[in-house]
Amino acid sequence: MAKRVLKYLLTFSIFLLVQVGFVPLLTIYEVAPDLLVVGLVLSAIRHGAIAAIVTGFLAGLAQDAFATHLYGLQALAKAVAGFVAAYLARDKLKFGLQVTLGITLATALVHNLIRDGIYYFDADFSLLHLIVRYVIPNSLYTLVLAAIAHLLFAKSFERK
Amino acid sequence: MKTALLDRSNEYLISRREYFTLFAAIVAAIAILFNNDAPQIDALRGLAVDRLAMLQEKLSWFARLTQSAEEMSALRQRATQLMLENSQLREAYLENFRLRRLLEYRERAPLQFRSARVLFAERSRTPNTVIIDLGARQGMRVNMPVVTPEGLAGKIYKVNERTSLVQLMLDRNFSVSARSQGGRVLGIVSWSDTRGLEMTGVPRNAVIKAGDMVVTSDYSALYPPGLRIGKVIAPSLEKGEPFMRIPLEPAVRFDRLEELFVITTPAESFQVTVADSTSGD
Repeated sequence: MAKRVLKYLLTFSIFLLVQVGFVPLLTIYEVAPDLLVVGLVLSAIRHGAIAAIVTGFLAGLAQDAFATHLYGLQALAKAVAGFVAAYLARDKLKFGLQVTLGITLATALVHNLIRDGIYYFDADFSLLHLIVRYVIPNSLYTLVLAAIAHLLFAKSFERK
Repeated sequence: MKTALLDRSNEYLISRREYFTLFAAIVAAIAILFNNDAPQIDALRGLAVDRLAMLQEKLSWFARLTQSAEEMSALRQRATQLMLENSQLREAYLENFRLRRLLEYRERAPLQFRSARVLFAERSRTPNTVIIDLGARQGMRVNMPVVTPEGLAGKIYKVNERTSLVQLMLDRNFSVSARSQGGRVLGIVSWSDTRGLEMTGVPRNAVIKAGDMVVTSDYSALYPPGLRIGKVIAPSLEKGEPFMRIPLEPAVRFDRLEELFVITTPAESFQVTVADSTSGD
């Protein structure tokens, strides 16, 4: 049990380090993927809602410490994202590429809507602009990352 | 029977544990998030307070019916009007002697104000504020003076659409140009977290005694003159200090703020000369 928890924590620490250290290099016009969202989908599929929510909250807090000046923003977005991923994955038995990408896209959209919605709350543009300019591109970019992850580690996307 | 009920409630909690976890995570994240001092959070807080105020307004009609709130509000409004008139009359009386000699008459416009209900108090935060149910829609602007029937309470610090934040006199960043009503001794009144409300910058040789009322001075850029601030407790002279520290007992009971009055008269109409203003207010 302890070994499993340790392995889980180690995996998310690596996800976090890659997200903070490497992913910013992939940013194109302020659009960047979120590896932790992919990790949350993985966690939701394998371990269920509670693990995904708690992981989302803690990973988000850790990410906040590195990335944004709004402490708690990623924690909020990722806790909700963890729940959404688990909710969508709850009755599925098989997680093929299409199902995984569908769950990831919905999770990323909810995550980015919360995160970018709050981050740009006082910005002088409409909700539609926010969605078209930030939420959808960020989500699609995350989707690309999820597709690569699924192709490379298809076995990991299976319920435990 | 009791066991069955306990089992059923346990079952209910277990079957919905995901939702409880999510709720706890959201509450924790929002609590952390709202501790940031970023402009986005200020805007969000403003929106949240506005919505809560709207909700409270809709729910409070029943309470208002039973408590005759309107009648109370009208009476308080009248009391404030009388307090302001009284202050002005007393000021006029004292001023009369000086003005007669100087032959300089200055006509003051009667002060206009709007009554506001206190929705929330954020005493533990800096600035020390309360939130009132008047906002930009009701013509509120930053720096408008806020009073109670007893005297000066603070000023508008931030304006949302339907609500405003009032910075109370108990905030350490609040200061106001003041003078004693009898001796016309000038000074600055501010709040010290350790010493309480005090008037500083008063020369050692100034004549001021316990019980004297301290009011806003004519040199304030924001506040009309003559608003009661507090009563002198006991002037203290410290060795080697060129100025006195005068502890004051606040005129306003800040622990009982329910209704406030915002003076909407433009500051320009009661300023003597802005250039002469000696304080930061």
